[in-house]
Amino acid sequence: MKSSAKFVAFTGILAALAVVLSLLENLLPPVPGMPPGAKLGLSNIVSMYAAGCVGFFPAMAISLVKGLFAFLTRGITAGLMSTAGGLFSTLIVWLLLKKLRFGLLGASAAGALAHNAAQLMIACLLTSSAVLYYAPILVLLGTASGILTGLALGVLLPPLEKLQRR
Amino acid sequence: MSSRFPLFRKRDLLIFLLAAVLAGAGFLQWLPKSGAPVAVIEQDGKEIRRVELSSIPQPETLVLDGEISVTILLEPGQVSIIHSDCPDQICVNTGTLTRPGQSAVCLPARVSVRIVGENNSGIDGMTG
Amino acid sequence: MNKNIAPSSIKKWTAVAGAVVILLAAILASMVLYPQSSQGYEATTWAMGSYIQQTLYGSSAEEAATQASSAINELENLISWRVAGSDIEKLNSAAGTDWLELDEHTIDVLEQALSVAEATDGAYDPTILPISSLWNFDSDEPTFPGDDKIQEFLPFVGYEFLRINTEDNTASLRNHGNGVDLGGIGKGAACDAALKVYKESGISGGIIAVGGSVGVYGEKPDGTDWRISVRDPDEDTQDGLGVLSLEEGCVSTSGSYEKTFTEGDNTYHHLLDAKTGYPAESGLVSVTVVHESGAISDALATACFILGLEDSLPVLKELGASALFIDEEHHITIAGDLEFEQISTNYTVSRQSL
Repeated sequence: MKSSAKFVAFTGILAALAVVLSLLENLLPPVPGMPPGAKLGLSNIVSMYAAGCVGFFPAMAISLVKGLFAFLTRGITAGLMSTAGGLFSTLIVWLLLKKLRFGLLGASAAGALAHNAAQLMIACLLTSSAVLYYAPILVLLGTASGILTGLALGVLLPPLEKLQRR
Repeated sequence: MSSRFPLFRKRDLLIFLLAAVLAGAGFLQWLPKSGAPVAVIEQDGKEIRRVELSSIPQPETLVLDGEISVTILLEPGQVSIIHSDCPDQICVNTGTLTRPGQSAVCLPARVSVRIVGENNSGIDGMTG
Repeated sequence: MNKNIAPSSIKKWTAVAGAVVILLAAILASMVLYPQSSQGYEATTWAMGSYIQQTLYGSSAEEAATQASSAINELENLISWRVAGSDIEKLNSAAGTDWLELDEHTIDVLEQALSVAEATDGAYDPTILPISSLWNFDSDEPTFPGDDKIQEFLPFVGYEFLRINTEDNTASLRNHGNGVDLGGIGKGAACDAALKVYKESGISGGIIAVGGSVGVYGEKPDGTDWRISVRDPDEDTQDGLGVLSLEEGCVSTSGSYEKTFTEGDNTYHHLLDAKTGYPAESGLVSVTVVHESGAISDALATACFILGLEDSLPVLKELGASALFIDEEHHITIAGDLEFEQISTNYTVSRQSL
């Protein structure tokens, strides 16, 4: 990635992809019995890729765009939760993946947990601490969805890296 | 190596261990708390007495004086209103209370006896 | 690979520890906070001649409970005919004279009372006071007033004597001798008043019981439905007849076992039939009604008890309520869409669609 224009455009495309994936995910019917806040986290694939292969600031920017989009489409509460969750999880993923050399599975699971933790904190501040009842379930579901995201990245990364090098 | 990022490294286990510990600790909170049933006796909305049912050593009567006198019998594991000067006697007819959520009320005397604690019956309220 | 880790591996592992601690602290904090929220805040007060119990969940629970209980006191001071200076006391005193301007809340309750009275053709009648004060069930010593007295005062009872104008919040009683007694709707109206406070307070969920009327709002911490035990008319034990599961709304019960007295060979209960002036005999022991409005459920419970099972069904359908009837033969009839789990085995159960 040589020219900066190309770089910005690439980040923009990634941000758009993240927004589209999170929109797609919201279209899925809610699974009965699942606590509020439990999500597949499709768009985390994009944030993780950005944190690992593009850089820290582009990755944070993508999370911000995603949060901003949640503000616009789903209101203040959802916006705050998405922004806080996105930024915190991107930070953790970048830290684990780039600085501490964790594997994809571990970094991705930690990212999902960080996302849940930040969301819970915001939900707790904005609504009531009753949401914390679900915390243990969210930890398990978050780890599971993190592992899925990690596996998906394991498949997607090699070809993407080739693409990027061109 | 096709990728700079290996799928799994040994240190990833640290994350999964952390997740397991957190989830475990969280689920522990869901277990019924050891909170033993406690009888709460109130008159005019003010708490007169609070006693853990299982810690009552021997039967004891508690007489609440007022415009209408009410006598409460505290026994190991149970509590009941055994006498009231009220006309309707609904409180006496309520019988013996043993489980959280149960209550006996003497409206004329404004006395209530109820058992609080971990609500195993899962009852939130009562109609009738 | 190794050369990447070696130089500053100590620093890096410190950072690992840092990140792990942040995560741990965030989620552990939530675990510590959790028990408080699931316990619920409980408050017990007395008003409307009943024992009021609230269990509220969420951060502003204590404040909401206090506000709800003062809202109920305010309501009582408006709609109790026994409270000197209340709207209803003034309305009763002014019977046969002029229209009176009353508080909006009073008019609301009167309007709901009249709607149930009209739907039930007077089985529930808010103008029962001339008869109910003869029997005096709420006093220490209720007495059988005698047939002569009942016949003398019966003509003064009739909901058509009560007229309200919701545009300028006025009401009137047509004749001297008419009187309003909102005893059959007041506890339900108190639940409504509390639920209104809850909605505005930002608590996550709560339940209020005013005597036998129960109202629920929002969610329990575990997200399950509210479970309300229905008293077994027969038993002194508190196991109850069964459990009603409710997502929202109100439940009220009218049972002939609630207030009774015996004089000579006869036992009288407090559910008076406005048509005869005597305690109603419809073969029922108790009726439990579920409706989104507490006032409507309370008044309907009384009305359905007086109407009996058959005549109640069209009324329930019309007003969008469901009900549980218990008759003298130990049979439970569930009318409408109710989630009921039977506990006592002394009863048979059937369902009736509306």
